[in-house]
Amino acid sequence: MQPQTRAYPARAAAAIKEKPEVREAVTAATRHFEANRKSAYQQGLEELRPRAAGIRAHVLTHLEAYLVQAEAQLTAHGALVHWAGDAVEAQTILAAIVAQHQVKLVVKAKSMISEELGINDFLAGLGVKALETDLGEFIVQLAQETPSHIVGPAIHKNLAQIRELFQQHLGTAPEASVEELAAAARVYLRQGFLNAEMGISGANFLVAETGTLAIMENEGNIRLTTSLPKVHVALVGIERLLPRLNDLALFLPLTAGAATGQRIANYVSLIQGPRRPGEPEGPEEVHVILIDNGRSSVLADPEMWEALRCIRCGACLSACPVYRQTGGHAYGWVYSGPIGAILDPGLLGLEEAYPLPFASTLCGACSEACPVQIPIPKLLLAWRQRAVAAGFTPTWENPAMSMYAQVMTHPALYRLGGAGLRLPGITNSHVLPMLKDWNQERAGLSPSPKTFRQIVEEEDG
Amino acid sequence: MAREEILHRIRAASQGRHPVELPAPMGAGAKADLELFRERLTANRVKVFSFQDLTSAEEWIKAEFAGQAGAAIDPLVPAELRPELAPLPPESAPLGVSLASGAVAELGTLLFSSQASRRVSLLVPWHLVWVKSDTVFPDLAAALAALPEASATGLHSGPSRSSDIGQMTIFGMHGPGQLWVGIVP
Repeated sequence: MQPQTRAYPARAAAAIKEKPEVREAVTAATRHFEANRKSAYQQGLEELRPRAAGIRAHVLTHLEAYLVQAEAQLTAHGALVHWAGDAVEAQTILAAIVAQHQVKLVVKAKSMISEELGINDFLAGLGVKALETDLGEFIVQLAQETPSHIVGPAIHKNLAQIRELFQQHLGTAPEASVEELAAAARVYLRQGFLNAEMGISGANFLVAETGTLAIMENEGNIRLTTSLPKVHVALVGIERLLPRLNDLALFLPLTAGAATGQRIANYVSLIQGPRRPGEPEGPEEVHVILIDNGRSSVLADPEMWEALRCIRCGACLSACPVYRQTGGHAYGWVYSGPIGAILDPGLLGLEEAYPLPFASTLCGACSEACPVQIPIPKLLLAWRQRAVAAGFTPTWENPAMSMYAQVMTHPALYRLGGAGLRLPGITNSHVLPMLKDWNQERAGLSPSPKTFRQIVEEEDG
Repeated sequence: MAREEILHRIRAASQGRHPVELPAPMGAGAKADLELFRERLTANRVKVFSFQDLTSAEEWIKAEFAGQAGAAIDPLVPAELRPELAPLPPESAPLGVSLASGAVAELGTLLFSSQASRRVSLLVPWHLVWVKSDTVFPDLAAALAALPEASATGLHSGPSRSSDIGQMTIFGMHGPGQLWVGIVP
């Protein structure tokens, strides 16, 4: 996927102006996710967050050993393990498997890393049809768009838009019910499951101890994608490991709770290799492609490595007041919202993604929601400082920041400024250009006649 | 070689970083609470039937499904727990019958090892699953500690569902829209 991250300010402004229905749909959906997450956290998940954060941090500080262990376990179970440094290497590996099995049709389970690697376009170039089978992904694919939320890929689309899309592509009635729309998608995709030679999935987790892939979903499409075609290819980021099988007892409920408030995802596939003798079904070949694509450089970053704890639950997107205004497309790449704003500059380079860390009010809702306690606001600030230092930010900001620093470090200047802002009428006049912008959208400012210090001193005295 | 390069980059990246200790694993309970199991299944929109003995389960299955056109029945289902219906392939059967390899009380979750047919449990619109009460684990940690030796295990915790259209939930998206569980001793 070609990043458009540098265009965030323009894309966000356009989204708000030209597509008000997106804001409405996204806000409704994310509020729903957020309320469910909160209630799941209150029912016992909250206290598991530090342990989950600890396990993920442990994995990241022992990653080499766990990758080698996972590889050995997978191989012992008959899975074929590949390593890809970047998208091109991953595509090359996939192309070889496609050619070997003469694959014409692929069914796909929802996978963010597949978006990152541009798998669908690549397969199309090989003459292979790739069918997204998650309903939300299928909608997005019909609309020739990209997913806008990790958990709800099509939350930016309302019922009317989906009806129109299905009428055009699947011949459903103009006023089709949600059930009828889903049924049409089921019938269409069922043929895909029965005829595809290959299934492609991501993975929520890869357990090092046993070489077990764990994949979560609600619809059953991932169960089918990984069970019916004769070849299963799993695309796995190198940071997705867990040490012990037991850790799934923590991470499956925690991820589901953080994402949708469920106790556990409706379906979980635990996969450790191809079909064994005596089993009625299952793929003859299981390929696991371990993918770096920028992750090792994020790991090397003394601050940003914490972002690799992420388990892709989407809770920070749903909690973010800035994300709710535009949805995910404005961010211009696979990972949007708060996690995208800290991960994208690491994976793509800061020059490519510098506007994203500024797409935040630093309110902290994201880190409160994060099941693995990633200090997102701290990392956003660190990226901002680096962006300023590298000269990527708008030119007016540097003098403004140095003026701010002067005032804040010189008490006399600070007092003078404070007194100036207390002059009657000054905050509602057009003397100060920033205040004019502020007042256009908000009620006028009325500073207290006394300073905070004065009030405290009087009360103490 | 990509493998060596990636591992080298990881090694270099981790150098000098303080290693974080591995927190303790999740504790596993000793005894499953069948009442909680039924409650959690029901909360997951599963219809639950409990039987005191095999005979009453046998009578129930003969009567309850009598009118159906046929069924896809997993070979692992014991003979006495099969409805008397014509066998149909899972692609066209109105009903599928399976035996769970285990279950998790705390979550209302059924386990299926890949020794069982995944077509039977996924392609039918209506799935009846037998659970033997002594195969119910108290929690996920206990179930994982005894994970079956198989190429794959599926955890099913309710009928197939999707909320991808306007946050309105529909059932039976790709898998069964109706999930029934019969618990036998």
